[in-house]
Amino acid sequence: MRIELGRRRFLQLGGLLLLGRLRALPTAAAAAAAGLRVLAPGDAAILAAIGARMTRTGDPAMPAFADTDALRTIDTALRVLPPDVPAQLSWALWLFEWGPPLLVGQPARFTRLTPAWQDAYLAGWAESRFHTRRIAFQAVKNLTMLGYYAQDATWPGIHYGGPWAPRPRRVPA
Amino acid sequence: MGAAAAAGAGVSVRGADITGDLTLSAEVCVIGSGAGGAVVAKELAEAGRDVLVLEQGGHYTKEDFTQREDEMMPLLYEDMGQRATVDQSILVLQGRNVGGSTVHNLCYCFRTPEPILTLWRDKYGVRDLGGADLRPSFERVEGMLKVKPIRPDEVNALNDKVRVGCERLGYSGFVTNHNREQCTQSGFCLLGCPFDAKQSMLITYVPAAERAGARLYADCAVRRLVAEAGRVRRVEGEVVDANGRPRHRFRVDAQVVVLCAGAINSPALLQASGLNGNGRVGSDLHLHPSVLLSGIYDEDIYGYRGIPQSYYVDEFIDLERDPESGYVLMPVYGFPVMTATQLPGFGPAHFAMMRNYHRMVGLLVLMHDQSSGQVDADRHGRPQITYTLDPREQRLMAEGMRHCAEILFASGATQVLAPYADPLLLDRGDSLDVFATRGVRQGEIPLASTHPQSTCAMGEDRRRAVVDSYGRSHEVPNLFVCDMSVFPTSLGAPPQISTAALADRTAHWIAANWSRVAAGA
Repeated sequence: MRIELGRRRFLQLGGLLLLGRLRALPTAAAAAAAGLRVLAPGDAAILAAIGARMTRTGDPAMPAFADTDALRTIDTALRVLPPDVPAQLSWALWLFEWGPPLLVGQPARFTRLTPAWQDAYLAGWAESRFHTRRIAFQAVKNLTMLGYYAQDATWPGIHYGGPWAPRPRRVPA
Repeated sequence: MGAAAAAGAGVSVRGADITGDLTLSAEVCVIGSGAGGAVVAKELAEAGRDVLVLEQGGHYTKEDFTQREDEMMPLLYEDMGQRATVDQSILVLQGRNVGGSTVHNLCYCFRTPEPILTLWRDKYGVRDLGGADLRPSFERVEGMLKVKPIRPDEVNALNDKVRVGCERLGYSGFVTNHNREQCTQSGFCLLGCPFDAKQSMLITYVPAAERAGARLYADCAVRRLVAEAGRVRRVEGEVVDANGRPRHRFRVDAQVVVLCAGAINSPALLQASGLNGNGRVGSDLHLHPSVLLSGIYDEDIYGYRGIPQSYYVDEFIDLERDPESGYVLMPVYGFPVMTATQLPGFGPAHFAMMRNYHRMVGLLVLMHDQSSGQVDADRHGRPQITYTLDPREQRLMAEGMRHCAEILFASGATQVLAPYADPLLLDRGDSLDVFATRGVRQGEIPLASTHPQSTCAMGEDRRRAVVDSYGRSHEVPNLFVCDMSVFPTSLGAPPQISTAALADRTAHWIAANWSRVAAGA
């Protein structure tokens, strides 16, 4: 299914987002987000839900996004990006989270959609005729792929041997 | 003789060692330590000048290079490898560490093509820059970097597939020169060499500069050049932590400043400093934009093993005939994260491609671009990059993609993947006309650049050029620019040796004319 966001609906979405800011953030992944320094718990929960769909493999030998350190890896990476990037990411994640009522006609936010609707919704972002939405999709995809494929546990499944000369891991400052 | 050189030994200071604001002075302040800055620092320090080098990134060595993407990308690349044009359509990969991009490049070593030098002379008014003029610089640089041909037995399986495909089709290609010494062929060049086999600036020119007395300050991000009365008087900036956040301030009073921060950061810094008198700083950006296709084979390739980029396809560029057009094809590979972000789609369909990671051969089209863009500093001084690939070069790039597919199929690929947002997966025997139909439109297929250039072009015409034929600013005579930004046009070849040789030439010119340069005459 193809999903498009017209200008009027985009503005409507903006209004909803402002209202959404007044509501409680999702907290389901708050525990998993413990120890994160850049990602707020609510943002981490949305990103975890997106990451789960982005990196779903269908291969039982591959780890699930939630069973890896992917969020922590993303959080570490965000520390070195310009300070406005985490703020932009936070807004993008809000757009992803609160877009479904307008974009797919589903009366639920992204994290509460069924997996099939989540996939359709993400595909709508990926294939949107609006460049800004495609950029947002690619940014979130880049982060989730970084988080997932940086994990050693994912490498056997893609026949990647990993570092030749393993060294002690650096401890992030 | 400068004070530091007289002392006989340089110093290397990391940001973490700096505990308060700094006020420093030097005869020559070099900004950047990559292929331009490291060479300038070494040559001028050896000429007896008191040299201080400022590098915005960290000073990492082989012990730091863990061969892991998640750890190395933040250390070695601008914005963790996510720097891009404003519209996000072109990724612009650049180094931010002592040694600059030479620490994570893939070691191609090419002299500046003679027709390009002729073009720069005839069309852009650059003087004293023929092949014979540059030969001493080429020879010094190639000697320092231990440039030599890759042996046939060092060509890895990925590059060999491209070689075989070209030979079967009768396309011109060759195995290139590299700057490697006793290479272990671990294949992790993109993430920094943990064996010090890659002869990057980090282990060649930078230590040589220090031995000659140069002082190196890492983690020092320059924010502004302060010009007064027609001269740059000082350099101001911030000592930053590993995450780029400011810790302290510094200033360096210098007689001469040599800006070597690369073709994105150099113009942004000049603009932020109000040094754009003729309005040309940041304009005419060329990127050597590239697009990548992947061949998928039945047999295991393990493209990440061995020397990653040794073959070079020059069938589609003829600089003698036309120095302003054409493209080359280059084998390439990516580690898992790079590959995953470049492959289209998500979910199981994406993983179906990732599952073939070890059977992929990457081949990219790199455009010798006449298309151009612009670098503009925002209100924080950060560079904003815009670039538009013109319709002619969109067509050429699509033609190049077709040739990539031909080569990959000719060497045995069973499928070829073009990473459009709506992916194109071709089977052997499928028509390749589809590339002309789908074309290359920015934002619909990932483009990348590792060679931004030409934003502070050299030439004798003060209205068109930012610096003169020796890299000296037309606006402030004690300021030089010494990086890829001085190329008047797209180079049309890998730029490492050209950048270093031009820096060598500029350094020798400064040394030979020191009294005049220091006086700002």
